[in-house]
Amino acid sequence: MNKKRDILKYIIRSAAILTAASGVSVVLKRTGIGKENILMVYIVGVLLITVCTSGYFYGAAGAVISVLVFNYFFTVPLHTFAIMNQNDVVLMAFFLMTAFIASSLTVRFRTQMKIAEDTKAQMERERLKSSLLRSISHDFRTPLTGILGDCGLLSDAGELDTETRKELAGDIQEQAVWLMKMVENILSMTKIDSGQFYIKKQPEVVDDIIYEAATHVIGLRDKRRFEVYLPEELVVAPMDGKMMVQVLINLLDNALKHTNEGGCITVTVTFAEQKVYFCVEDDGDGIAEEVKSQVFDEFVSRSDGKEDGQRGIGLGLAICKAVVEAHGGQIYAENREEGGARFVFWLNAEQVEADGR
Amino acid sequence: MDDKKYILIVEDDKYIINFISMSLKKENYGYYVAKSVEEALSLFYANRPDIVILDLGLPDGDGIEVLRTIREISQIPVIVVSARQEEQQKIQALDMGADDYVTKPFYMGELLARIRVGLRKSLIIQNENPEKVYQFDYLCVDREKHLVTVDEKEIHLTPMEYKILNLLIDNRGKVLTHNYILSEIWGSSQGVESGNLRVFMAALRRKIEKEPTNPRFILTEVGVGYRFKE
Repeated sequence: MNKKRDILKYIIRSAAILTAASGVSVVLKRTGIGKENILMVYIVGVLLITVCTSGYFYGAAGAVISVLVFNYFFTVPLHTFAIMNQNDVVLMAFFLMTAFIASSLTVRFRTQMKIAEDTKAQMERERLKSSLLRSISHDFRTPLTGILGDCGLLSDAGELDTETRKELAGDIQEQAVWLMKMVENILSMTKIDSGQFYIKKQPEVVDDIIYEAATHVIGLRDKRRFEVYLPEELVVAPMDGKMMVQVLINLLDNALKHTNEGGCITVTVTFAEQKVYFCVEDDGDGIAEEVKSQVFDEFVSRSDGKEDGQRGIGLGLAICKAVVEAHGGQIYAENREEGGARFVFWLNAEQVEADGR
Repeated sequence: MDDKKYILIVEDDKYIINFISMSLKKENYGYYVAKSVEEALSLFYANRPDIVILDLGLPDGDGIEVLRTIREISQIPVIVVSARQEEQQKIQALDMGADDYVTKPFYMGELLARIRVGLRKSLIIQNENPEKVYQFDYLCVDREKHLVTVDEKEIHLTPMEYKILNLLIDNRGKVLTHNYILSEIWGSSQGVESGNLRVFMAALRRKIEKEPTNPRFILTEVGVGYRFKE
């Protein structure tokens, strides 16, 4: 289908260019300019065709048609394909050769350009990949060091009292949980990178997704005031449930990270014009000016030395953006006027009557 | 009489075996450890454990095979342990009669809770005696009078919602997959969209839960199904 359309497009382009060249030639002839120069106009036409189409075919066909047209209209005897002058034969032969060589060079040049572009994109991907791996291995090493250290302390537990041992075990757990979350995020990222193919959309009820996400954020319900506001009617949206849960976990984790104990985190779901809006707000310190324009970029993270010992490699929000966009939605971030951050994303959705029949 | 409960651990990772067995010993359970499909089956036949903890990825095959063989002769509770990549297998295992699952990494506390639920369930199976009235916390279902109350106030459920609620209660503690519920309620999972089921569940939850986003009874296992918590 597309291929047919392309062919048609190229034929129309070629015809238009030839017509234009012929028009110019007629004007030039009227002003008494020689036929050698008129052929030059056709050479330009053939080159233009090569540039505006793809492959050798159109340029070559254009060259042959040009010669025929030239022969018919501009050589004596006019309006026949007969040739009287030997000069004209040589002229046309050289024209054809020049046109073929020039157009094949152009095509080759364009192929080279394309290869160069692909290589560049490939290199960019490689660069991203290696910077991901670098930051992963760096950020994995830190908690691993912590875990190893804690284990070392625990294994010669002789001198440690119960309180200290509990504390060490707690530290190990915290660091392990952090590592686990990282692994989840990296898995999601590779899933997205390998294409939409892996996103399995099923209709999910918004309530479920929020519940599932909230249970996975440790400390959300007991260390913060966490409130959820849902619309009266049920909202159903087609999505990859697991991945959308991940988006909310990342946003809630973020909110948790940037608020103090006892702070308030709210999730508000609204429905308008076949879209469901998820709004995650907190009353923490907001988004810093210097990262505002790039919060959703990979590897942008702010470590402000909160005492929780929080860190991040800045993958969470990048995943949110990628997942939401892979679902055809959009995500924004802003600071609230009353302080704190607000993250909003929307997905296509519908409201359903839940009368259970 | 020895009323100690015996648990068969089917798992090939020695560190995981280690902490599971240590925790079980602490809780005063007996246990057997199998590291392969073959070993699991021979230990199962020889010792008839009370509950099985089954890892799906085993060196000599799929844990599903173990489950299939066990189900041919026994209804004992089976808790599947899976890594995240084994998502599809997990659903398959539940559809084939596994009772519950935990995903790696899991907390031992969570696994122990599931083991307790599983053991309680095996007691229920033993003295099969369908009750007429179920009371869970603030929720009461009276099957004789077809009455559902929350905090003693009558709740109006549609016939479909009532049917689903009863199915959940009959299988309480167990994860029911979307497919299973669809085929139980509609007679077939063909032609009924699982999206519909989600809507019914959410509607039901809004009627019987005090906090629908932090449910007390109907827990969603995203991408898998639902579980009724006593």
